[in-house]
This record gives sequence, structure tokens and C-alpha cells, in this order.
Amino acid sequence: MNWREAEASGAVGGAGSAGRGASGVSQSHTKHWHDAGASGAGRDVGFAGSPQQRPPFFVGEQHDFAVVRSQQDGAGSAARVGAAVARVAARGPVGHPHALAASGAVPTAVVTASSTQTNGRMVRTIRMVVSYPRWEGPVNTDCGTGGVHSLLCSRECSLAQALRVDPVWTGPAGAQGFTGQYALTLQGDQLGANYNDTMTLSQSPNDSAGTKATMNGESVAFNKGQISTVTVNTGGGTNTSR
Amino acid sequence: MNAVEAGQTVNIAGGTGHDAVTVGNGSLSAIAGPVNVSNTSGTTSLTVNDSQDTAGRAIRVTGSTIDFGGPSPITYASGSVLSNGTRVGVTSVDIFVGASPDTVSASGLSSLTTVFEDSSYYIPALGRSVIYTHRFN
Repeated sequence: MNWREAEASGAVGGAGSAGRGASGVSQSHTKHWHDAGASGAGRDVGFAGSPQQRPPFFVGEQHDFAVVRSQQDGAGSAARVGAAVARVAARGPVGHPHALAASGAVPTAVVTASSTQTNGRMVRTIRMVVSYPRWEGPVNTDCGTGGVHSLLCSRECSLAQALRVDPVWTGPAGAQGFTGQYALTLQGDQLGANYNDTMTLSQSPNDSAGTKATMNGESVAFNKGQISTVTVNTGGGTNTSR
Repeated sequence: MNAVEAGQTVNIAGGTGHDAVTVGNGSLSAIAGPVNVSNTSGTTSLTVNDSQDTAGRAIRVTGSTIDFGGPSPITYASGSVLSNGTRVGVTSVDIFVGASPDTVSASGLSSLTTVFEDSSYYIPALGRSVIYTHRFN
């Protein structure tokens, strides 16, 4: 028997998916999810941001790119880009069981920076990019819930709300290693002041040990271990978290 | 919050108005990490739903924690009154237990947070279930 579960659902359909073009994403560094959530209203979620502020992996199962460094020198902006990790998407510790499984995905290695150390050894930063025929939005999009470049979000992916995902670093942001995990923030009232938000955390439909976050009917899903912290700020109104 | 991964922390901060937070969708077995519930500008009703769990649990409630035998307890900021008279924080805690032998005990509770144990019983004569509620404070 269900009791006291007659709270207002507050569910909304969110924005549509119109406006997508058909260009690759290797320059925009976007990440693409597809979540066929239980609601039947599965949505694609994409992220965009500055490479200097981005971890080498975007969460999700597919279309990953990786930053791979042949050697670490710990200095310069190129180092900050690449020092995060040297992993390959399909073998990353966060687990990507469906890595590169997307049809039409074309992985390509791109040398983004190189330098010569005092010992004469060359350090190259190699970025793996995947292009696929889904446009996800411009770079450095400010989703309105934080500063430009400081977040990864879903705003440009036609969701009505931003589900913020920040990389977790072992030290000051961008200066130390990327832990391979992210902090997820669900910010209420994005659909209006004092909106009665409904937020849910459940098991991912793609990875039952992972996390699925739903906010007013819009969902994103993560594999196990990708989200270390979930922060729910419900905002005003009569909100429901479950 | 139906599921929390091991090693994952969930922080729920309420805002102005009144929030309802439910941990567990009938079972707490998928709550493998800490859940922290607070509200510094409004009030929150916290529900812990273990009503469908087949495993019996000894649930212990204090003024700031709910230990259900999981890897980490649920923590909550009990009710308080601001200097302007506004009541904030978690003002009620409902523990829904199941037919399995869950037991609930409470100690050190805040007077501004009421704690309930709720259990459902099917009454054949009525043809439906009724909820028995026990208030601890």
C-alpha cells in the first residue's frame, strides 16, 4: 500500500528537442547522453565547456573522449589540460561498458599540445575526440547557475533545466588530478520562482548500480562511481525529493 | 532518494516553504551512502520508507541521525526557531516500517522535531489496510 505519496508530481515536459544541427563535436568537447528513462520521455543530455576547465572524461556511456599524456611535466597550461589523467575511455576506472558503442562514432586522436623538457624528452598531450552527427551546443555555455566555464550542464541540450555536473579534483580546480568523479547539483526553481519541484534519485536504467537523477521529469543517468556527491537545493515552494 | 551508491553522499538542502523528503522507496537496501537533510530557511518533513523491505531492521532515531543499519546513517538538522520567529529545519520524521520485524527506537529528540513510527496493517473486515502511527515525542 502506498501512503502519503499523493504529493504533487510537479512533472513538466520540458523543452522540446528542436534546433539540433548536424555537425561533429570534436571542437566543442561536448558529451552526449541518452537516457531512456522509465518515464518514457528519454532525453539527450549534452555538456560543453572550456577544455582547460574540463576533465578528460565526460560522464556517460558513449561518445567519450580522453586526454592522454605520454609524460607528465607538471608545468604550463598544456600540463593542466592533460595532467588530469591518462586513461582511455573504454578502460577508464569509472567504467564505460558502452564506450564507443554509438553507431557512427568516429574516434580520432588529436595532439593538442607538445613541449620539450629539459631532459630532451618530448611531452605530447593527445586528446581523443569522437565525432557523431548530433549537435549539442556551443562551447563555454553559461547555464545560469554558475560562472562561465565553471560547469558542465545540459542547458544547451534542449532541457529546460540545468543539471549541473562539476568534476572533482584532488587539489585546486584545474591544477591537480581529476578523480574521475563528478559532483551533481540539482537546483530547484529553474522553472520559475517558488516552483514546486520534484526531484528523484534512483538507480540508473543503464547501470543498476549507477545513479539516475530526475528533476521535474527530466533525467540524466550515470554509471556507477561517476557521481561522488549529489547536492539538492530545492529552493522555494513546496518541493518533493524522493 | 531511492538509491544512493556506496561512497556517494547526498545532501538535500531545503528552501523557503515546506519540503517533503523521502528516503527509500519501500526499502532502504539501496541506500548505501550517507544522506544529509537540512533546511535553514524553511521546513522539511522527512520520511524514511522501509515498508516493503523483507529484511528486519533495528532503526534508531536521535535528534540528528537515523541509523537503519546501513553503511551510513541518515542525518538531519532538527527543527529550530530563528531569531525572527521563523521555524526552520526538519520538523517531522516519519519512519514507515514493514511487516518484517522492523523496530524503531528514539532518544535525544528535539522538541521541535516530531518523530513518528508508522506501520500498515491489513484489516480483513475492512478490506483495506490502515496505518498505525506511534508518536515518540
